[in-house]
Amino acid sequence: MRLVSRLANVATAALACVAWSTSEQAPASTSLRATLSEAMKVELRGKQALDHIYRISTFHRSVGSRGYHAAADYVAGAARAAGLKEVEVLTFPVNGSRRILDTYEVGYAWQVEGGELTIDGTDVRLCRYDDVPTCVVEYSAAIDTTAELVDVGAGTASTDYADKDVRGKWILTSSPASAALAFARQRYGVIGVVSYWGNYAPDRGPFPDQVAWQAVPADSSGQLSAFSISARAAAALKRQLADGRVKLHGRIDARVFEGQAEVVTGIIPGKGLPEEEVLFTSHLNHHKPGANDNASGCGLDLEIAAVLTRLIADGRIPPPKRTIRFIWMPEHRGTQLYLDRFRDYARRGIADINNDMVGEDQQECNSVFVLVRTPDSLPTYLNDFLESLAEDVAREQFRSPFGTRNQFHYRSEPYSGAISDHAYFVDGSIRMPALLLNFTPDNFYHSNEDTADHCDPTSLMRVGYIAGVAGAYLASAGAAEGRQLATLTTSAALGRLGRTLADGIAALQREGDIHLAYREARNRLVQAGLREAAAVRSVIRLARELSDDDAVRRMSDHVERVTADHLKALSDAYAAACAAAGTSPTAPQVSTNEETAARLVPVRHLYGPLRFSYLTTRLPEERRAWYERNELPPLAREEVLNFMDGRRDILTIRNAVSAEHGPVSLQAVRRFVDDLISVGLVTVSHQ
Amino acid sequence: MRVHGMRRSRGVVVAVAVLAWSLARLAPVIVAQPQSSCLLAGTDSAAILDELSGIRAKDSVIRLTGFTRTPASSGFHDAVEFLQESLRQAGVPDVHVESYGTDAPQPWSVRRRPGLPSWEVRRAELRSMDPPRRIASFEEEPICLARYSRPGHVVADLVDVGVGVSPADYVNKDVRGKLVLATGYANRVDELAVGGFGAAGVIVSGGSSYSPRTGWGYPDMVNWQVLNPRASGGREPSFAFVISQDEGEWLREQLRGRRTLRLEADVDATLADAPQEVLTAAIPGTSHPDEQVLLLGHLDHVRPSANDNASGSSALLEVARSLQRLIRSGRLVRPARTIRFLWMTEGAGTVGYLNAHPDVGGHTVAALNLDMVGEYLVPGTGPMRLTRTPDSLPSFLVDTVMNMVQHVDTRVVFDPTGSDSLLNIRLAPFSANSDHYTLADGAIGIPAMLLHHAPDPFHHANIDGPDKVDPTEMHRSMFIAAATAYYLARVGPEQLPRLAAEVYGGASMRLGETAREALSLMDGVPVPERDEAYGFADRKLTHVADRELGALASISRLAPEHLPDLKPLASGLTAQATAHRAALASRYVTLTGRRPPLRVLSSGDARAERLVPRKKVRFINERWQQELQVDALTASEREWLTQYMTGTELPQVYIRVPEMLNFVDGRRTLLDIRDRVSSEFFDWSVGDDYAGHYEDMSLAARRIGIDSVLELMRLLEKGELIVLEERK
Repeated sequence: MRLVSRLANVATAALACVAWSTSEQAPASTSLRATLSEAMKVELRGKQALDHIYRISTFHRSVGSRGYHAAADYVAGAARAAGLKEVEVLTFPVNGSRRILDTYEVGYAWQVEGGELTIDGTDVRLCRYDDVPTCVVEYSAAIDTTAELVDVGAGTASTDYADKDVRGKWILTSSPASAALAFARQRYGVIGVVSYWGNYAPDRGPFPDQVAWQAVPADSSGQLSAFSISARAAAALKRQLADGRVKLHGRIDARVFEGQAEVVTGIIPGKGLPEEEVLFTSHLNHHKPGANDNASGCGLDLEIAAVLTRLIADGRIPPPKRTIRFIWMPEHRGTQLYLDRFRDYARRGIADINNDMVGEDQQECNSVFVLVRTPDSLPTYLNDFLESLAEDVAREQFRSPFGTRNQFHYRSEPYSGAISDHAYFVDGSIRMPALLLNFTPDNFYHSNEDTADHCDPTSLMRVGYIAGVAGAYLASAGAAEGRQLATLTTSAALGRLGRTLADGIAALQREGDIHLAYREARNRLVQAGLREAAAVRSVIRLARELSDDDAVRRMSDHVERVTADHLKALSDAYAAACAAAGTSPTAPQVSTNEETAARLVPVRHLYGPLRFSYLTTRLPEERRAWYERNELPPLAREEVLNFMDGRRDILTIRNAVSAEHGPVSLQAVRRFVDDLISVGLVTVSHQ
Repeated sequence: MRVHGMRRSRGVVVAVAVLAWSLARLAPVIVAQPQSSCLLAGTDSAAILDELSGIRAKDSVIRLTGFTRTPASSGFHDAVEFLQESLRQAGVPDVHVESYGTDAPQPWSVRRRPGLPSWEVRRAELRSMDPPRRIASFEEEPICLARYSRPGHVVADLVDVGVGVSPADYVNKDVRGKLVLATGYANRVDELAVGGFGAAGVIVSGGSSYSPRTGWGYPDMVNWQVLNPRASGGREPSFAFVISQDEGEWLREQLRGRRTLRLEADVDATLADAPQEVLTAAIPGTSHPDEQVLLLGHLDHVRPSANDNASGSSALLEVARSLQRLIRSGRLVRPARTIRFLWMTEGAGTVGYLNAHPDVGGHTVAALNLDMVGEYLVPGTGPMRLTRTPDSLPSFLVDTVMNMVQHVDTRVVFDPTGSDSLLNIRLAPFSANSDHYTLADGAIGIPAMLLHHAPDPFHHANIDGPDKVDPTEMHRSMFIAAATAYYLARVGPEQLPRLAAEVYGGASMRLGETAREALSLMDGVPVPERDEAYGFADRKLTHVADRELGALASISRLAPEHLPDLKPLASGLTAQATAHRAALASRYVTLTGRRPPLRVLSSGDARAERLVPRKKVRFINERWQQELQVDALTASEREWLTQYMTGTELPQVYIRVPEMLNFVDGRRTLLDIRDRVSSEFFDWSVGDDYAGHYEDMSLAARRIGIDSVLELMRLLEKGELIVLEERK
């Protein structure tokens, strides 16, 4: 599935005809990529990364727990052994509702010692923490109780509880424990939940013994106890229930407490621009074994660190100009805490490469490698750069001698929200290009079966190549490399623009309001042109002299010219479609609302992304209820905030967001902005 | 083949098993049996099965596979520390490390023998300069450097010498100062290429080092190889990199495409004399703390060596933790005897322990050696094998272990992330492939069995990683070890009749199998061999009857003062043997129309019948070759001995000669000893050996030429190990 890259190749061919000079491309720039590429292919040891993964996967790594601490200790030791400098374990108190990143809360630590669920009066044990760490739902409270079990089906609607007496009992549910428990405890006084929810179909298809990792909210500590069980166990319970009453004895030895979150970090110091940083992030927390998710990213980053430091020490690659920093942290919370403490990444952050689930044996796990691009609010050369490196792997199919011979399959995917830590860096208040490197789907995702046995040194080596070459390249990139990246980005941009044009023309052929279709298609093309030109110019961040560099300017000008040509072509197509439909083109009308919106410039007073519940809990009921209609989907909300740069007016923001996630209405965007204003996160100035 | 007794009793528990089936996959514990065939009480076996966790054990496997566990070296030490810490955390008593220096006493040795040196590798890499390629790196895969490789830094051209183990491979090749690429066994290639022809170092590729079939289908497999730890013939070995078949092909492809290929080999390693460490822990017994049951497993080997033998080492840890926890919590009664756990270097560590505790045989009632106990049953993997004690040391242990096997086999034991394969087990002949061999030696006398899987296609190769370890199979192996140890540590006079019945049942079965074999053998031979076959078969029946009576009598070891009356059972066995022999004789009469012949002794037989060997000095029989005073032998005698021990005259010579020594008790004649060892090792009841050694079960394969035995014993006498006395 490499459609995007095929388009890119077409675009590259087209570029050959483009009349800009590439004479500024110094041979040195070619050689940095070639040097890194050759060295990494030879030196990366997928097996070494796998050894780390095995080790890390033996720890149950809940935030603040002994298992997490041991894992952090191991990673810090390995980072030092890898030759990283300034390795330290940063600690952050996690003590409840303390605010971080303006709208997030720091939460609690959780320690589980054991737990098991048995059918009372028999020797049948449904699960035991020692064997299946995921069977105790994360942030469960301690319990040691025997009670009857009631099957409530999904357990998330009143009808599920009709004619059922669940007070003081366990409920059996197909929903996530958190969903059922929140509902049932509040209204019906159940003592705990037994959930057989899985990440795939409820019966887990060919994985009937999989026990899903689940969590309940930590802020309701001391309240909630829940078990996660396999589909097979659930089926057995249902058979027993069909024969009569079933009592379960559930024991959980765990506590929610105020503890410490730990973030491990270490650097390869930069020479020349040490303040600027290229980051490698990988989250270290998760249930045991959590091998691909995400011991794999942690292990791979350790290997990348070891290889880079050794190559630098041996003089085979240049020491980086910028600092390369590795960060191993609890997912989401760790990055929130880190960015809360270190608030200057907007200024000095060059890029973040976030390795999360990067070791999958593609065949066993049924996975495709995915590069998750930055949102349109943050156009960057980084997307195309990493894709070009993925294409190296796809073309050469090199492998670890100790790994599989699987074919490498990859895709480039649009930004998909805060599914991992890259999301915090791309936020509009930080604007640091960040990509997620990830294998998906994964048959064993978030379950007790995510063992290191499913990791593949070949996959690790390949992702290590993409990430490692990219990180080292960016850390040393100067003007020459910037121009090379601009060339790469331009060629890919032209492919995407062509695709946007083609999509727009196709939209005109569909049924519906042809004028509206044209208007949205035109908006998408305009926004794409802005985005792509900005992506080309984003290389300026790598070297100040590029800001008035002829080559870069010519490339971005070319993107703008092609966009203009495409707009003309779209307009022609619109005219032709109108003629065919027996109507005539209409000139775009600017409504009063649009005129008003165009005079309002929102100013954001929010560091970090918005935790949505921060907003909704502060809104009156009727305003909160509006969001359930999803007129402004979550990704669009994120982008409304991200596009607020103090210059864009509300109409401009609406147009940008509508092109990316739309169409969305101006009213919806205004309503959201008004709500943000009402809670003091945004102010507005009138032009 | 499964043991018949197990098939029989399977039916008894079928109903329970079916009931348990639907829930069994949920957790490793299962439904209690109303009436158990297990020697242990139902609650005891259920508690043990319940407490053990295959997943926990696999975690330890993962940890241990992170260490390069070279004997006497830092990686081994780190592994010892990990286990020690884990044992302490689990509250297992009496955890300590014994360390045997190079000057430690060796009471079990006539001649001082050096221990294994330590071998520390700081860096080892093999690279091609152009095209640039990292061919092997110790850091990534330590197996790529043959153990005991010496340091060196060489930049040189590569020469392909084919197999590289015979001088013919070097004809018309100039290897002086160069690196050679070979497919033969590294140590031999080093001797020839470096020692003989002046090469600078060795690279071997492919899977030819152990069994040719291990390389099949695994082109990336890198075999584990070992060079001489000590100088040999006045020469220190060089270094040898070991690479996969595919990597070797890459090198050969480069050589085909160009005139030269320049490689850089860099080895930074040190050898030194160092003490051997043995880790031990013990759950002390109450009334008979001096008596012990020994559970052991070797801890050494290259990284990862997951099944061999991080699996056995981790199983011991989990068994120790579980028994300790069950006993401390009162779920199991503290046993009368001590249960001791031992983690050591294979071979050398066990001998070291025996030297440090020379009387251990006297107070150890049984030992179980766990070596390769966690295999996933993938294509190419053999069953779980339990090796019997040697015929020279019949014991109740065999039937005790098989009873526990039966218990775990008739239960559906699955670990949540383990396989759901069913148990596949086989009782195997006594073998020389691990430490039980030394313990069951006639000199030491500990009834010892091996719990093992073979063949294992990943054995001694880099791909013996933790992914090959099945928590379910670990669970089953651990139950067998834990239940056997706990039962034997606890068994008192009141349980002995039950144990005697168990032995009686097993013995009857084995006698019956021997009768089948005896009758079939006599029917199958050509007419001229029929008399010999009859004599052989009759003697074998007698030998097996003696052995099984010995197994029954061995129960006395468990309660010398309160022994139950074993006479009725012994009479029963004797009667069975007599009946089998009569059937054999009757069949002979039917076949030939003649009465069974009387034995006709050859002159050699007659000589052997007059000689009674006696050990002159104290030594471990299986180590006789190292103990022999070879200086006392002439050159031609030494040559004869080498030929006998390495030639094809006597199949299984390496184990049959020590077994002959095991039978030496100062009473048996040499003829009797020869006859008994002739009867051993080719049992139809235990089937063929996985390595194909026993495929030939013909009469010819069983013959042990008496003249050679006489010569061998003469040389052993001359070499001052034994005395041959004329029978009065």
